[in-house]
Amino acid sequence: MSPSTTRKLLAIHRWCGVIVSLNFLVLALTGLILVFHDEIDDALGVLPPVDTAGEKVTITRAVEIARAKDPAAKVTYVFQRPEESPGIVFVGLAETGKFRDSRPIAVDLHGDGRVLDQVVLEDTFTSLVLQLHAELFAKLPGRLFLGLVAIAVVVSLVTGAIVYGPTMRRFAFGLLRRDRSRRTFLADIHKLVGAATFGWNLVVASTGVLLALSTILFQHWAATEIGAFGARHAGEPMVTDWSTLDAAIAAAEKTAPGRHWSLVALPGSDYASPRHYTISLEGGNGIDAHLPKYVVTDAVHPDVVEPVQTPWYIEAIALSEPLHFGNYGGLPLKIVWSAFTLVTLGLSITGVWIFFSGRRAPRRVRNAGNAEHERAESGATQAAA
Amino acid sequence: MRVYGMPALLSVLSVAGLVLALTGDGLVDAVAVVLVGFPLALIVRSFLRGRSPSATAPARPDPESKD
Repeated sequence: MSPSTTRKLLAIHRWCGVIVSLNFLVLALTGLILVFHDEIDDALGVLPPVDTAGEKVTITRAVEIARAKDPAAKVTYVFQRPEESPGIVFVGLAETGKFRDSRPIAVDLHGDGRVLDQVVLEDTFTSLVLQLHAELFAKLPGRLFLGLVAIAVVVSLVTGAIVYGPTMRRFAFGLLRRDRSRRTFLADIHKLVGAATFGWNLVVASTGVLLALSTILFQHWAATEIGAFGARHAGEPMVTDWSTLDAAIAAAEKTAPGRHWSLVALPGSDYASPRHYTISLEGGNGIDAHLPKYVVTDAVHPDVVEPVQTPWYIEAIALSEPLHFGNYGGLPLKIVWSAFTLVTLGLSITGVWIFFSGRRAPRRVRNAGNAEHERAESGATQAAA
Repeated sequence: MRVYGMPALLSVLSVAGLVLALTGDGLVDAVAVVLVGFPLALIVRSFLRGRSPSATAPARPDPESKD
């Protein structure tokens, strides 16, 4: 690699890192909180304890109960989280009929069934932190902007790894020179931390890119794979009788032993055909536990269940979620994850410090203090020789 | 290249740990955490060792010299 190539890559590395640094600070701090999403929700008592005795109302009935809260809105989905909130389902209501605009209404399935007004899922502390982390409170535009930030982080990581070779050619891994200028010491820390955390950083940043695109990719999937089921019934009126909902869920679960339903998209929403329910099924062991299966069930003949194909990008998004948030390997992994987040924050801070200290200082001082550019060049020259 | 040996090893170990943690529970998770956390341990070791002259760090380099 020629010295001028190294210099260009180093410039890309520095500018990408500096431009995203403030966003990165927000992402790291909110990410640190989100690793402990479940623990925080438990501690704050987001979900009330529900009396587990008494007969459960049907899902069909739960939808009716929720709908009474806002008869003008369309019902978009029903979801449950049996591990976190047994005995409660959440019914989505939206004027537009779109998932993204939906308010989840919590319905207690016990006794006669009732709306739990005190549970406002989108206003909990962790939900607000997530909206900041994933969308900067700016919905889809915010999400796409953060996708660009994540791409810049990936570019900074990769260019950093490439210039690491020439700059470190004559030094051993882990070298920390405390006896030199502060800039040299911080540059050594930056390189040590960057090299040691490259793998983790690349995983978190690249899954972040994918998650930023997830809304668009899911919409594409709904329009193509799910839309194909509706195309067969083109011209027929939309199904509005949801009395088949419970039978449809039971039939769907029968096709996937060991799995339970987690979400049903209703006809009229953007994730279901006008004729079918789209049902996601979760469960299983190992990697299967992170990969939901999707089926479509005929809303008129609920015993007719057909699988929905999940292209590679849908499976990649499903696996990106745990790999990005670190909330999957138990508490020890969460603690290691937090440590990585803090160390990576140090990577960003030392990088920004090096960037500005190099700019602010007069050239003479810069050369005397630390000759990182020169070092990079001399290393590159040797590498090229 | 020799320079990339250790960083590449650390990245492969930690990414392997991250993926391993996806696939299992219990003992597999414990092994995965050790793999993922290994680079952090090396960072800590470098900081601790940097306090005294060390055998593995090369002699103080002179950027001006050509070898």
